[in-house]
Amino acid sequence: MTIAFVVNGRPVVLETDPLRRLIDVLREDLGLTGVKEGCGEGECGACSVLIDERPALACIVAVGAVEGRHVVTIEGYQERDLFRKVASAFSETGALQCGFCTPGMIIAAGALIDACSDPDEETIREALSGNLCRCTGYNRIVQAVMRASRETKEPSSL
Amino acid sequence: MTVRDDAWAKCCGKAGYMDELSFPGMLHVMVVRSQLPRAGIRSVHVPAVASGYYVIDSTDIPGRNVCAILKQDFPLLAEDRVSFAGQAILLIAGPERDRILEINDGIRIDYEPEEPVITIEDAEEGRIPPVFGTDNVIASIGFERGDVEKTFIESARVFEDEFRTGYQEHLYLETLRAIAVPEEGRMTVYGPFQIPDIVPVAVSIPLGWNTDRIRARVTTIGGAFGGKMETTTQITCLSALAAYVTQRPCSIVYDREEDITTTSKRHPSRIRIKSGVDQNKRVRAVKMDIDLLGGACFGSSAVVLDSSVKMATGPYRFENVSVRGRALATNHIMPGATRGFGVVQTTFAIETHMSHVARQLGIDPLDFRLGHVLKQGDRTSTDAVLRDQVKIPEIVKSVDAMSGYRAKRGRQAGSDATVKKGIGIALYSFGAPHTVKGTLRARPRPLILRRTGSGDVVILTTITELGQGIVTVFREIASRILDIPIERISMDNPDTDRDPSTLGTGASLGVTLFGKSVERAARKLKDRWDEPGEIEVMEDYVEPGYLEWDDKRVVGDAFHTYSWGAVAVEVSVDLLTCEVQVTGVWAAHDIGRPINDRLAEGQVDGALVQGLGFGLMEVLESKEGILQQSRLRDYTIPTMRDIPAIRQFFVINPYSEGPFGAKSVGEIPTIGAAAALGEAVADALGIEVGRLPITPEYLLDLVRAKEASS
Ligand code: FES
Ligand code: FES
Repeated sequence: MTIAFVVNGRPVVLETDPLRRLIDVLREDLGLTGVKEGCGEGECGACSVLIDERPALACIVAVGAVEGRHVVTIEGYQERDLFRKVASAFSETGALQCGFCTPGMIIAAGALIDACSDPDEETIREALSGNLCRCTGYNRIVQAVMRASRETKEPSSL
Repeated sequence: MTVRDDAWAKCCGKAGYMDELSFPGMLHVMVVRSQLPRAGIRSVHVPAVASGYYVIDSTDIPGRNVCAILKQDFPLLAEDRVSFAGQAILLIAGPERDRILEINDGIRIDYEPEEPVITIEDAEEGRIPPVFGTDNVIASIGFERGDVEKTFIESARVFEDEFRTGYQEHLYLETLRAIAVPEEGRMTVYGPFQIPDIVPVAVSIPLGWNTDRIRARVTTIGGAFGGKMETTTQITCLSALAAYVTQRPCSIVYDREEDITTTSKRHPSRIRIKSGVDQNKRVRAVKMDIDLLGGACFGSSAVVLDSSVKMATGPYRFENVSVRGRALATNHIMPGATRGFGVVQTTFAIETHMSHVARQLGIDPLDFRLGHVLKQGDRTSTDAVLRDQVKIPEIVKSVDAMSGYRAKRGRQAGSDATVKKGIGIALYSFGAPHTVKGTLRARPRPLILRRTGSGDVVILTTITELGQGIVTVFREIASRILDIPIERISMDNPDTDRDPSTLGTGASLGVTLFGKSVERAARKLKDRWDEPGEIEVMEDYVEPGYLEWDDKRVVGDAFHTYSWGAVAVEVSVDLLTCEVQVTGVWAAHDIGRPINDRLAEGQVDGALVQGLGFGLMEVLESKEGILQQSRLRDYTIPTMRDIPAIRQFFVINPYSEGPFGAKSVGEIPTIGAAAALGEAVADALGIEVGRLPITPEYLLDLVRAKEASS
């Protein structure tokens, strides 16, 4: 079946099984290996992408379901000003260790900051509870998200 | 403070992980595994396979059918019998995953089931034929100081407890994987190897090759926690075997289920403690019997047990001590190295026991424990003199100031009719590095500092970055000594063809032992800085000269030094559901003088949460030898919502032998969290906890038993 959608701003037309997982199409057919697989069953958030600007888990979405829609992976997301702010906050706060959760975490955190300009600690812990991290104990991730959200309120220096 | 050099690449998901790697013509490999914990294999039926597909069994192994961990006692692929569910029997290799699955569906293995050894009791009773040797004892170690039995007789009171702890999965977010690439008489194996040095040795055995024909290249590691040490030998040997047979690059990727059900974990334990207390309410004698539930072969259980036994009595001094430890074989996957080694289990036991005894004696549990804490100049349980200052009192003071422990303790239970609050504290210590004459085998472990012609410095070593930040710490040490910007110092993922074999990221060695080598190498390099062209300095580790160790008698300096810590955990327990919510975590540690506070704090945060997960929610049970939890849906680890903000502090206590005074931090914060959690629950509900994890079902039983008895 032919499936047409937009990935990171570029139109993509693929001849493939519509039931294939979106994560496999992104990683294997399109080479977007920044999308990580931690569980393959919607439990860890490592495969977070944006579908029409909403965070979604690419391991539990069939590629047929994104027909005509806009998918953004970390490769596209990293062009955004918000990514730079969140990634700087993560780096400077020490919110990453092995880094395997980080791209998914940044996409989820960015979506939260977009939806809520000044999230408090509880809101962050609730909103990002679908993104697992085994290394950091979350402490510094929460601090980084707060810092990034503060910075988005200030005019960009970039 | 220095930002780690891999931060930006990791934010972008392009840091050189295995999942970014692919080779032309690469085949996927699936491992066909035993469904039964113990059985003879009567026959294996393999369907005809299309060209380009391969089914590989033990007869295809050109060398010896051995998967070498510490001993060479285990087959790489099962021949005529299986000893645990998940044991590898066959490999299926080919270009398309769907076709591989079809082939798998057509394979029939006819088993002759046998009664498996499942529990510690099964293993020690001897009713079922043994899995290992004649008595299932994989390893045993023990010692006695003073006269324990005599002191019990003289004691005013004697207390006994039994503790049980379960499996804990490492749950690194990147599952295990390996790719083997055949190259003109050689083989290169790529993977997230925590200790790449062991890969060529392991792969050489089934291939029947010399080790110099095998090259291990480490990809960026997506978390390890001890789970990518010895466990990687199996997957690398299997991928190398497939590559040998097919002469194509061969990739094995475990999905989460395969990773949880077939790789190593923290050893479950049963720990019995007996203590004798005198008229003055001092513990005069302690006897500990530690039994770790092992797998079907030697694995690395002996190493884990070694830490359990040598650190069994925690941060306390008892005049009469007897510790006996065993690792017992059962028909399960091999448990193995896991952050905190066997000290997480023993710390839970000794802390809970001490608090229990204190309550029986009517003394405040914290005061009681503080009254028994080791001091500088005291002798440890292995009869080593503690040379360095022990700052447990300052550590506890700091935790109390942050948490309000003393003000809160025992005053919160009546707070609410349906929700009870409680707070607990645990004290602990962790010895690192191990004394080489004892546990570590004596051999060179060099690293190299190379100054290039352009004045940049490269650190060459097989020490691996697991996320803990060792690369940043090594660069920082070299930068301070050489007085050049850290950006000019680099350290890549290891390659056994290029790097000297430093052997060993693990056991909290990295900073204290090898960071010191970096420091010494940098000093030598600095002296030669004016020489033209490229300069190389090779430096081996040096043990402090004062260490003495008698392995036979288990006497002396088991470790170079000790890190110390305390953590307070606050909980609220819902009386209806018995669910425990952690509402506060405060910790302080003496890790010498940290090199990089932010990285060290990150280690503490992550380790505390891993320890809390172990104590609270990470349930992994075996039923008849089959693990009942196999995915993230049923094996749940803490999420952001399960854990509150953590506050912590470092009590500075520079260690004269460490680089810039640093001691180890990687493991120690893991070991006290579950014990503090247990104490908090005990405080909230007025019960005594004896088992981890503290699930709602278990708590409900305890609460009911308490109600029934009152
Ligand atoms: S890989 Fe998609 S949620 Fe875990
Ligand atoms: S940094 Fe390793 S899982 Fe989050």
